[in-house]
Amino acid sequence: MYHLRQALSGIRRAGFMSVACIIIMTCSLLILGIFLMATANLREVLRYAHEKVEIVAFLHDDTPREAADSLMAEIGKIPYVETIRYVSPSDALERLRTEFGTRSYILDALDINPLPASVEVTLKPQYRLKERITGVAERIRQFPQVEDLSYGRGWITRLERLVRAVALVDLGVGLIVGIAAVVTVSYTVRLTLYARRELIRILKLVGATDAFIMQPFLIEGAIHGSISIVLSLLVLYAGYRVINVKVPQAVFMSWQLILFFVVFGLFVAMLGSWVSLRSFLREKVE
Amino acid sequence: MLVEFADVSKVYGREIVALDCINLVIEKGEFIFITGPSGAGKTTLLKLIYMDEFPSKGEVRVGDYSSSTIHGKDIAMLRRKVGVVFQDFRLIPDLSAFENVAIALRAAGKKAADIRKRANIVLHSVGLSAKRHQLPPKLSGGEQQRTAIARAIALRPSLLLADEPTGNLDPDTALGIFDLLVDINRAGTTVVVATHDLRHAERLGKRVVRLDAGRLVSDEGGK
Repeated sequence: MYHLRQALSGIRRAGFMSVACIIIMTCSLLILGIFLMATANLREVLRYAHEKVEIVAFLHDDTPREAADSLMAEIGKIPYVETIRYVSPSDALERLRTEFGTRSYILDALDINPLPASVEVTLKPQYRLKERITGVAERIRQFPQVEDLSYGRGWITRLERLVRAVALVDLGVGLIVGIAAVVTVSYTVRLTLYARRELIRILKLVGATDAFIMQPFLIEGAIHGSISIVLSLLVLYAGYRVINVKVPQAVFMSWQLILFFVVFGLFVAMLGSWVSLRSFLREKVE
Repeated sequence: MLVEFADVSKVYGREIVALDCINLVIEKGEFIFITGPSGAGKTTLLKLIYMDEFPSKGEVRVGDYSSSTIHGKDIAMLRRKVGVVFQDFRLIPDLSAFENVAIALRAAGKKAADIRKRANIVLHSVGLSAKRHQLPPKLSGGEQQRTAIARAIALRPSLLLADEPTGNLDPDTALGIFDLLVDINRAGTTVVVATHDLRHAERLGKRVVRLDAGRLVSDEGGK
């Protein structure tokens, strides 16, 4: 209770410096927040792309429907498989016609349908990873009815590489923003500490432990941090709403991400206070 | 609390010798004056006792603590047993006299009720009961020093250090402060006063240790 009262009176006494501290921290958190949101949206795009991943098995020209059905039954036994769909040559041609649109008359020149029948297979979302897809695809290739296979191996690899790169950039930017925030916060806190240097000296003189002296300042840091977190989240949400009007698919931070943001903000605020406190406590009484 | 300096030297930077090979024993319950001109090393000697400074050579022992081995939390524990009073009082200007005294008790982890009781008792003992809710700037110099002394003795230290405690006070007020220090000493606390003003030492007939340019030049009187 004493520490909380000290922290509140500290904020009051620091006045302008408290406000400056909150503004600087809000800005740092905003930078991080914008990045996190951009990443969240990019991941959303990647997730959507991943959903589109499917294996297409082209069948030999003379494969009868019964053989295709037995193939589908066999594929259905493979774990991880979510959906299996048969596309007959005429279905395939119809699809092509739709894709060609107004130029579909080109297809009319064909005497016969050159398209093979195919079976389209999708995996359960959690298994849409390169290794799994390759594994399943190679099993499907073993069936005699299958002439050729397509499952976008190249772009799956590229996609997964991109996801990994983004995660790495995430970490890097988080680290840089984190360090920058800790440094700016610690410098701002140092200024507020400077004003209360006498109190710290007296506390040391009368035998207060470092932990006792630190507590109100750390609470103060946590209060600054909380205010900055709320402010930056409000600004981010407002920004998200504006963008949302133009891009309805845009997503805001998930609950997990917000939780991370809050913990990160508090951690940075308290670490910033702690860093300057350490150097102040090392000073002599006189 | 016994204080012992064994071959203690303190050098600041490369060549500023503040204390030079000091050997000194302060017995439990003593009242001792450390005198000498400005820059003689009086303040450094006190700082070595409350371990704000450490010897460049030799060892300072205060009770069970030794300057060679003390660290971290033990320094805080030592300071709870050693009260310190300064020439410029060192009070927090926006806290009342009562709160200034309570700080020391709070820092030692005392309970709220005990803090109130003890702070009132020590403020009464220095004659400031009536002014305990005043802020330091509203108090006279003598009253501010009494508040500082109250803070220094709040935790019942066995040793009280005073660095030029009357330097900012007029002669009459200074007399009152010294009488208060003598009373505290009579109650069992060892008192060490650093001052360049020898008159009080002579008047009180106590032990006087004289420093000059960091050397102990004489040690007279007392028991």
